[in-house]
Amino acid sequence: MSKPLLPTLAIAAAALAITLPLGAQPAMKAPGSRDTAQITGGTYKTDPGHSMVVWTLDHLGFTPYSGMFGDVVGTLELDPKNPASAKVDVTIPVSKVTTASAGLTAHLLKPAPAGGKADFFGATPADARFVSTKVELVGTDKAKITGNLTLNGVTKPVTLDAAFYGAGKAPAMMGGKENVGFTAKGSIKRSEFGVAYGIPMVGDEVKLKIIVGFQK
Amino acid sequence: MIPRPLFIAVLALCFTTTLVAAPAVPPGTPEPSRVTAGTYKTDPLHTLVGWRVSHLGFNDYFGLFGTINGTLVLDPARLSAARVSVRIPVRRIITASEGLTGALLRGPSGPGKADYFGSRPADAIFSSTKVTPDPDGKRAIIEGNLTLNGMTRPVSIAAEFSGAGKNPYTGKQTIGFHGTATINRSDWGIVGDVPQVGDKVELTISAAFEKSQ
Repeated sequence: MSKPLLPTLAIAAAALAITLPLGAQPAMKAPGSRDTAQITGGTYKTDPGHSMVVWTLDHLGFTPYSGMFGDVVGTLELDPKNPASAKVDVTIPVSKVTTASAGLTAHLLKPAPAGGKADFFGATPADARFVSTKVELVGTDKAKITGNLTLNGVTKPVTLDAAFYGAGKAPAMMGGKENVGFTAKGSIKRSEFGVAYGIPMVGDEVKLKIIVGFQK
Repeated sequence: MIPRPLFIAVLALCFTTTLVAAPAVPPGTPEPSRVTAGTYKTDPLHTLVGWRVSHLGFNDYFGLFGTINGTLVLDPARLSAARVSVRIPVRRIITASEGLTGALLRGPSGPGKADYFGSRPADAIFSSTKVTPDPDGKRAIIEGNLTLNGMTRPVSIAAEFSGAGKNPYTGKQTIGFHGTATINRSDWGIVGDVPQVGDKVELTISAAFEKSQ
């Protein structure tokens, strides 16, 4: 090892030691962890850029097909001492449905013919909305969330199996907000919401996987 | 004798059912006996790779790759001899956020490498090297090489047969598979925002293959 490197290394190490507590440390590890003790509680709003509903249905009995709705906006009221009292209310912009096929996306949003019904959502679908009515804790970090889903003008009860994903405080340079995230799974029959085109060639059962990040 | 109006109604119903109504059941069922040997090509519109990564440890994030072209050579009598090769257009990455899609396809901000795929990423290619079928004939471990971001590394996919039959709209024999795999994106030199955005990427693959006979 050449000698001149050592002082450089020492200076670098000193700089690193000073930098670490202030700036570099958050980069060593993600700020969120699967530790429910990080949840402080209160009223949270979704982080819409990181909240989405992924849907999957059967195509012709051959393959599952998935797409998503992003930009989910809403609120969560959560008291970590009394999770069963939690309330969630989220709005899903159906008009922003996203798939890997421009043709399919266009069909999903194809206008209704004059005097008729659209095949799927129509050209200007109203937002869908889920409002919880009951939260039952399962273990320490899971819950059954029952609520009313309004989609295509029809409101039906839906039960979701939700699981805590992570919580923590974002670094100051990223806004410093407290975050808590969840995943949830559920299943609906689209025919019950009047979206019945192509059944049974395109499945009636739609599996939902919800990803949601809340912030306060 | 059937009264005449009823007879006409029944006749009309027969025609309507035959010509207009969708078939009562989908053509595909998960019965391996329906799979015939041959060379299949993907149905690119119904072949997807979903990906999932952790975002800051707060929540996960999901996106897709679609329009996947490729071939499968399969003989149900010799599943271990099956070979699959697919091409994934990385530049067509799909997310629910335009801003994020832009960031994933952004070129380097200075000298050096792009954070993610860069502005003109080459297609990713997966080519199988070994297929190990489960004795049930419905599942297999597919080992292969994934070339992504100019680097080739081995990947193992846990695959499951999801259905087979004749597509009534195209007349083509179709077989479908579902698969899962986990990779570390840093193995392919895609290190933007690791570990704030997870290194581990969970892949969910859905693939439809069809042939003309």
